[in-house]
Amino acid sequence: MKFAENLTHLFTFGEDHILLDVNSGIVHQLSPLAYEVVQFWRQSGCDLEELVASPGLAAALTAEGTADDIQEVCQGLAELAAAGMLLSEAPELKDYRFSSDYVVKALCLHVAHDCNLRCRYCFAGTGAFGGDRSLMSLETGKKALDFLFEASGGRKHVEVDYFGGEPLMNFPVVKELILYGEAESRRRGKELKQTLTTNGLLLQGQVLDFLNEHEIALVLSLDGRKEVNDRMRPAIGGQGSYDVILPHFKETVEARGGDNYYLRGTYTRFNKDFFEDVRHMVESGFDLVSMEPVVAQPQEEYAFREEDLPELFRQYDELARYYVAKARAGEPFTFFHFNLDLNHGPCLPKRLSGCGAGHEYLAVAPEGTLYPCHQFVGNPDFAVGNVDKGIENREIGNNFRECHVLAKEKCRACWARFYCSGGCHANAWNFNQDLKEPYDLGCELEKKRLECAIWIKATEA
Amino acid sequence: MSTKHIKTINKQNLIKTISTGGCGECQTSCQSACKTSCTVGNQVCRKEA
Repeated sequence: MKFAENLTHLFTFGEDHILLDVNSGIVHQLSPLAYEVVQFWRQSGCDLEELVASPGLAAALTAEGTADDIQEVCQGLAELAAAGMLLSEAPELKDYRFSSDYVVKALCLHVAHDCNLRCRYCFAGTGAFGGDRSLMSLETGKKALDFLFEASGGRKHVEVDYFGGEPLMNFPVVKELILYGEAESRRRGKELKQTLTTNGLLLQGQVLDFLNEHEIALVLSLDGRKEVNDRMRPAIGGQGSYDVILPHFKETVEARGGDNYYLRGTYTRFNKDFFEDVRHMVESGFDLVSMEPVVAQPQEEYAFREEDLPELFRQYDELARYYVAKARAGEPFTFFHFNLDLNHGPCLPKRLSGCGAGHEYLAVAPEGTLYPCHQFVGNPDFAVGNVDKGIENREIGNNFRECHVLAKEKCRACWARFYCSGGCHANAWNFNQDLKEPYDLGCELEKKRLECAIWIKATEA
Repeated sequence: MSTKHIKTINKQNLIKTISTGGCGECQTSCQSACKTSCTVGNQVCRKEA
């Protein structure tokens, strides 16, 4: 049995060596000696069964260890392979068939195509998604929720995210929809998780009280340090938003006992030292945080370039070390992309199907048109139906479903294939006009985040 | 496995979940803090949690 690159991922974080068995998802931490043995196995091209007797093995090793140690490592690797925990094959995947059922279980409800900020990187074109500034009516919103309850069939857990633009610019409708969602889900025997994504400007007083009382999950947008946030997230008049929204976010989180939210930022080429922004969030009292790289066309000055990757990787390294140090100090925080559960994570069918955009997950424009996800809203080529008639164009959804991770040539050979599940469809489309051609820069950052997350798990084991 | 040189840190075998999983009750990945990337691996299985 030869070492196979497409079945494994061997990497080093600091002084720790880690070997991932891709198909099983099982992670092994290696001693320096074991790491060198695996490296020799990999580079020599020899069979595992012959590894211990390979000429040149002992001479190639610099780590401390006796002949017995080398024997133990080789025997251990052989035992893992025999147990399906190393170089595991997955013949089941060759014949795996995705369900052809259309079960929509999540909606992104664009209740406001308008915004009270003018964020420079906004994929929604500062809220309007390339169209007119508009608000969703209560009638349309109710129809969308009814569609979700019906289209989810036998699924018990369903989700809706109140999104925009800025959804709180349409709070009277949001409020009624939340109440309607609660009542209808109870009546229909569903568990409805309701989330709202907000920039925080209007998050105060009765609005805040209502969202907390109804336990609405919140995604709160802040980019970190004041100067970083205000450069990219100005108000309509150009003034910064940090001084207004930070007190709102602190009050919100405190009032809900520090739970059921994410403070989410976007970092750009203007703050390649984004670790400082995550640290600023944590030191400001938030312990559920997320920070994602901006996705922007190369002509934008804030867009990342390939040469930025080494610095961004260093930032993730620092962030991972900070994460571990805080946990060891008894002050843990959650960073969304490090939040990997190696023992209770999603099943392989979920990992194969990915985000479900286009068939399990749809976005609803203010006037009721259905799109594969929030990033396709406003693109008429991707309209799949509307809240009155439901899904009318199944071809689009089928096409998205068929663009699963195993259908993408690059992904089939990638060690991270069962963690990112083929990446974001919208990114693939926007950068390559091909749903099966992933966005390379996003892939590199995703892989780096995963290495950090796996290393963190190894430190906790 | 936990030896002097190799320490296995998790037990879940993904391949086995191909026959036991697929109920679809889990959270949709883009409905949480992520709206511009696809990170499925950090979701939690509702049956296992």
